[in-house]
Amino acid sequence: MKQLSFISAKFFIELIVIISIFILGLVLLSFLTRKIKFILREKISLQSLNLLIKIIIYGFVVIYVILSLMYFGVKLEGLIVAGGFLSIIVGLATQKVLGNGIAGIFLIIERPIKLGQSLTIQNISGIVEEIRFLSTVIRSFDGPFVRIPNEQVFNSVIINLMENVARRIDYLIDIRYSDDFSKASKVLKNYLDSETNVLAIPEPEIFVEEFASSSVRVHIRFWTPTEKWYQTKNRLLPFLRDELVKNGIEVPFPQVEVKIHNLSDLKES
Amino acid sequence: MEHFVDSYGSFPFLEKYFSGKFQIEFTKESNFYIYKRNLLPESERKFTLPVLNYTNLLIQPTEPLISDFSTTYLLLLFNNPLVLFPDSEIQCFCDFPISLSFFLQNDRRLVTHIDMLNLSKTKLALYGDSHKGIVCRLWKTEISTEPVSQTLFETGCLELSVVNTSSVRAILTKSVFDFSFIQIFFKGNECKAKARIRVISDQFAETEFLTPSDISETTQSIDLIPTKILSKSKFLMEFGL
Repeated sequence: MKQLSFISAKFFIELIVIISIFILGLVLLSFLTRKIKFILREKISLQSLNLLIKIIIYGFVVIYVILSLMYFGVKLEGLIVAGGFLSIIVGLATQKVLGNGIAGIFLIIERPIKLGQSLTIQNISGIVEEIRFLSTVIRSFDGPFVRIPNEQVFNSVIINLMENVARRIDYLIDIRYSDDFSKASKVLKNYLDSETNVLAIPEPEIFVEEFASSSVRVHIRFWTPTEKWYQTKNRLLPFLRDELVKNGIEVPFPQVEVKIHNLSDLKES
Repeated sequence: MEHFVDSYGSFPFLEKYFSGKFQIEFTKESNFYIYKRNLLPESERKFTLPVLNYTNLLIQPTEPLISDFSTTYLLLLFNNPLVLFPDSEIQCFCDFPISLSFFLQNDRRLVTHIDMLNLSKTKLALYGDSHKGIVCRLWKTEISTEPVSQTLFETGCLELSVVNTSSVRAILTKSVFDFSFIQIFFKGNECKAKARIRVISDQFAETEFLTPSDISETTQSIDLIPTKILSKSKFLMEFGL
């Protein structure tokens, strides 16, 4: 009995020592990771740096736990078999979670999206705030934060809104059949030329898109610097319309011409 | 007290300055100066400045920056393309846009930049494709064998040294420069800069700004872009000439 209590006391002391070393290790590790972050902050991306830190911390925890178990004489072969069964059960129960986790790893390795990018995923447009292990956080342009599971992010069509230096704007404006298209084209071109944010190269294009039922549909196509795209797209259209009106070119309303044959028969009936 | 401005340079600090193109005013209100700038015939900018012992107002030509878009690249589009024979060198001139900057100097000779304006047309263009290209300030110009005439407060004269080091004939229709490294020198109502274009092949060229050949009695403009922190002064034109 005395021997047993001696063993349990020894075990208890060893356990306290191991836990203390673990805590001390974590403190040292946090100091070390801070140093690593400081040294590598300009050499690798924030995303890769965060992944590296996570690998270091989780690696330390896993190796420390295994070594501690070995110290206490736990046979790892049995643990591996038990772990195998456990992983099947856990795997079945957390299929979705694991799927998101694996997608998260691929997102970090392949990097189809990066922190701070403006993009559209599943009709949600916003800025990537955080790429977590299981989900990605987007700050949408209309305000709210949106959390998208990583599996969906990885399998979705991603439209990157800011990757290129220039973006195109397309407008459709209707003019009357009686209006002179070449005059309208000249007026529109002159106005676009006066705008700083409309790129001169590639040149703006103005062409007839369609002879519609009540109007001639004019297609205006030009490029702007990406960072000015939203503001230019929202601002220019009314000014183009005003410019046309100033030059006697009207935007027509839909018109229907009704022709009645044999009006006398209609009157009689 | 007001002053008519018809050249670049340093002027004693007064309440009002005017030229045919702009007008600036400093109105003292307790601890502040209200700075008001009018571009004639329209456009106004107004802000407050602390009262210090200002002695001079410096009006200088500076890098062709655009106030509402950040680019340090200038695309010169030549209306008359330059044909370059293999292993040849040409010295020529063209005009280039400048931005006009106002600085205040105090009695301790400390200079503070207060305002920048563009009196020439500001237009942007894409050099290269929309993915890897760059958005530049566009300037359409003519190449001349003689120094070109300048528009005060709007343009300067750029001396170009064009060298074709390749063994093929090249046609230069445009050139792109990183104007972070431009050195503008002024005297009276004229300003100038110098650049070199080294044609490497019929599709590639390397461009850079140099110190103009004759800078006697001229003053170098204050840099708005702190180029000392940058290391690469040459720009490689890789999307065609």
